[in-house]
Amino acid sequence: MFKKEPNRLPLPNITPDGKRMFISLIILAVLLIATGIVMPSMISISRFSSITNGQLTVLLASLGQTLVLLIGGIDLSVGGVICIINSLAAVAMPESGLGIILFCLGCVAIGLAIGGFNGFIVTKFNVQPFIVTFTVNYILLGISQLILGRDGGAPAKAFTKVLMASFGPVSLGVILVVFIIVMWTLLRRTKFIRDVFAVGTNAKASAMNGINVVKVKLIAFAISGGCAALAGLWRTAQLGSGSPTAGNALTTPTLTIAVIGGTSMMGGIGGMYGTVVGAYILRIISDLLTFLGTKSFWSTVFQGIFLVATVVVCSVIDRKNRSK
Amino acid sequence: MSKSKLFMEKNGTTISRYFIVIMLFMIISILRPGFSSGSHVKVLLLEAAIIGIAAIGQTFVILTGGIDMSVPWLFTAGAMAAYVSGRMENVNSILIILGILLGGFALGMINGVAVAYLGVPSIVMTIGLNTILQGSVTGLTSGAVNGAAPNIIYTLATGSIFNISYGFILWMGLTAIVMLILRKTKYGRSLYALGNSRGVVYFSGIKRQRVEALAYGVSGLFAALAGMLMVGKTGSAYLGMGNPFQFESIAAVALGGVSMAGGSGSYMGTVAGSMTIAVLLAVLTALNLSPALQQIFYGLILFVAILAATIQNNRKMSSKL
Repeated sequence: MFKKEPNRLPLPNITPDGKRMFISLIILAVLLIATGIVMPSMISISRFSSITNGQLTVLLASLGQTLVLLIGGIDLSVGGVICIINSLAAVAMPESGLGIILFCLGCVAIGLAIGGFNGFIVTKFNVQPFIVTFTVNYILLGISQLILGRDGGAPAKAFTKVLMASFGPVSLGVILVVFIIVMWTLLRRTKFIRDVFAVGTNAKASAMNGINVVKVKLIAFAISGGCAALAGLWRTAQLGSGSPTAGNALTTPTLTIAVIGGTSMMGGIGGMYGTVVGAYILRIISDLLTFLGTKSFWSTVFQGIFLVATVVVCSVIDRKNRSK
Repeated sequence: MSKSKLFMEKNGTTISRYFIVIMLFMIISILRPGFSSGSHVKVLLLEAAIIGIAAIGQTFVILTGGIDMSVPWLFTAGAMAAYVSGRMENVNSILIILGILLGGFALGMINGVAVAYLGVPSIVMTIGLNTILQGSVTGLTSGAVNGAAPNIIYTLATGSIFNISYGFILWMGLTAIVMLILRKTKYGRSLYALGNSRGVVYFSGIKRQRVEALAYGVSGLFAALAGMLMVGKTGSAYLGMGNPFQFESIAAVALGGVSMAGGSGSYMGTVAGSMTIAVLLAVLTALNLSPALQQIFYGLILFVAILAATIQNNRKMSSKL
């Protein structure tokens, strides 16, 4: 018997972190210079530490969002997962050290399960990711209101103390961000991440090249849920309380951050370096706006304009590349 | 194939949606006697009308294979504008309403131009516009407004003839027009063509970009109209009043059997979907559940329904091939 060689379609050249990340680095540099001129006192290591601690919640969720965008999907349920974990941690966290660790592992497992469920529905029934994650998010918000009626509660004291620790002026958050960058540097050459880029670029060609597309998509959604759960835990430690609804507002920023970081909404282009840069860009802009005395709703307007402007520019570039 | 069989094959899905609404309504009427009283049905139909009108544009957009997430704040913007403008006594109220509709259309066209001409993914574009509108409306109104909508809006929402509210009659009139547009005009058929196969549209001479952009404009227009009706119903305008309609407008379309991938479905289905949602919401309220439980049940039911509709659509698609 002859075994037929599967049809091999050429896969396009995969560039894990597109050139667009450098554009976002330039934006970041310009913003830093602007900050340095307008409010020089803001340029310090301790300030950087506190910004990082504040922004790590949305950064963690954005990492998962980026992965899902890379496979050509979208995850609108990250806000809901953050809310559920935030509420749960503010209500039910035990005080003992081992208890806290087990509890956190449990929370991550919940996040992975929710994300995995999204991925399962998307791949098994061939439903559009936005509608699945949008509906799931709606249900999650209901559940988190069931867990925690109104804003309040508090996590274990040891939990907050450990996560908010700082070594001199360097906070644990900064170390975690460095860890994220190192991990991405190591992981982005692995088979799984290459499969992610391949699936996002052309799912059909990937399947014909023997990539298990369903598995890759499922894992990407699951990881997004897990990242959102980590974000929920970090938010609890950082604010020292829970809220059943506040986390929901974080879904849009995760998209903004991923897109500013050079990740394409069409899948297959982007990466975590850009996402990390994007998280800082968003924060520095909002700090600058606050410094200039902008009221909060105008900074909401600006965030919207910023999202639209970035996505328009990226789409136009995408289109030019494709027509070439 | 006989004519009646052909009719059933074409419209079977839509008819089954109405069957579901009627069954749901009958079961609840038996369990809760007050539910089917004339006055309650009138309220239900008006609620369905507001959802249904907000979902007209959403149907157009989803038929093209896109999504409009900016319905909630277009809705609120329309409502706020109507509420504030009531103070302009020397301006004809019809002109005010037309102005607001035009404004909604123009805002929707911002989405349309970006999506159709610049190739921006509809979901991010509309989320972005929604955020911009959220901030702008909050900023411009400073959170609270006082005023009153033009009288004609109150009459439209609360007035009735033979116990049928004008709002519902308006909705039925719009439904007839929308159905005519979708079935009989070149524009309507282009919408379906766009959702089915962008490649074919490219070669068919349809002005793809114009067709697609217009769908978002229509969505803005009807979101603003639904917002104005809501002001008439509740008698006031407040921030965030449109927020439930992000979920409801999409759910009405999905429940009505319109494919989320675009290209198949009909507005008659969305009408049934809107009625289902209105009945469902009334039931959940009548059961006296806590808001959290209500949200969970509502979400679960719609999740299952959307899933079932998608599976059904996929099966139809694969049997066609």
